[in-house]
Amino acid sequence: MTFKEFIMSRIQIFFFLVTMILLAQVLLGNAIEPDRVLYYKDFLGTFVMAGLCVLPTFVTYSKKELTFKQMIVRHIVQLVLIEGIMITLAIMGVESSSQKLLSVVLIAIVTAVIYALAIFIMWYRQRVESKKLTELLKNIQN
Amino acid sequence: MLTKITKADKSQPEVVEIHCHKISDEVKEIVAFVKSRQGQLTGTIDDRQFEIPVSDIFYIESVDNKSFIYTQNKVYETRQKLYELEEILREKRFIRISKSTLLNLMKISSIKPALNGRFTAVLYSGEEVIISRKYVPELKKALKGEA
Repeated sequence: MTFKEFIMSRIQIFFFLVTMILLAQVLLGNAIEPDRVLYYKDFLGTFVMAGLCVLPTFVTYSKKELTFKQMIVRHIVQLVLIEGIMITLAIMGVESSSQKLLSVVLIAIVTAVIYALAIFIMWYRQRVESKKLTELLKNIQN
Repeated sequence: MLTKITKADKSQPEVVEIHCHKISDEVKEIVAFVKSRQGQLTGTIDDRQFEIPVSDIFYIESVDNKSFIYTQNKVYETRQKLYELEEILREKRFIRISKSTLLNLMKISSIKPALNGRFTAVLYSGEEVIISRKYVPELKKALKGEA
């Protein structure tokens, strides 16, 4: 993958993350602070959060094709970095110390779930594509 | 070495004849090339030479500047380079799937996803080979008959 292709894929991930973070904010906000009033500028936080989460994905870029083990290691590093950023943002964003721990735990869990979901979607898309390729293969073999 | 081409009558079979002082590596390479054009590759196991029908080959791999031909249950070494074999076997449904591997499309049982945009080809022998991300577009073209 060229660096340009990689950047394009990062932009796709950025918008995917914006959608998922908004969804998480709606669900968590409803559960923790349903009466809280949000201003337009608050939505900017979603974009900043998504942008900060995309930055660690650059650890998965390599000009050479990575082995399975190298890829796993880089994904783990990436998840740790994303969790670090999200937890830092959660600590900075929540003023009440009683809610801080709960927020950190929830953010950590939600981040891990979103990450797992993103990996699953990528794998599922590839699975659909591989099924199509197998069908095409059978056509030329018969 | 002089090169001489003589037109043969249509009633006569076409013959490639080599007159040489000794059967050198160069001569062996010429013979291997001619045979490969006819649907056969020459490979060796323990210095014994074998003719391998192209249809029996699962894949060809290059390791440390040596090329190896994999069939159902045998591995032959060949003198020919991977890029030469790629050129020869292009018309016979062989495709490059990584920097070092040529795969016979007719020997793939199924394709399944691998991590990071790569695919795994499961062969009829049960073996699995990785299709490098870089060569996936070429594979798609070949399967769609566009290559």
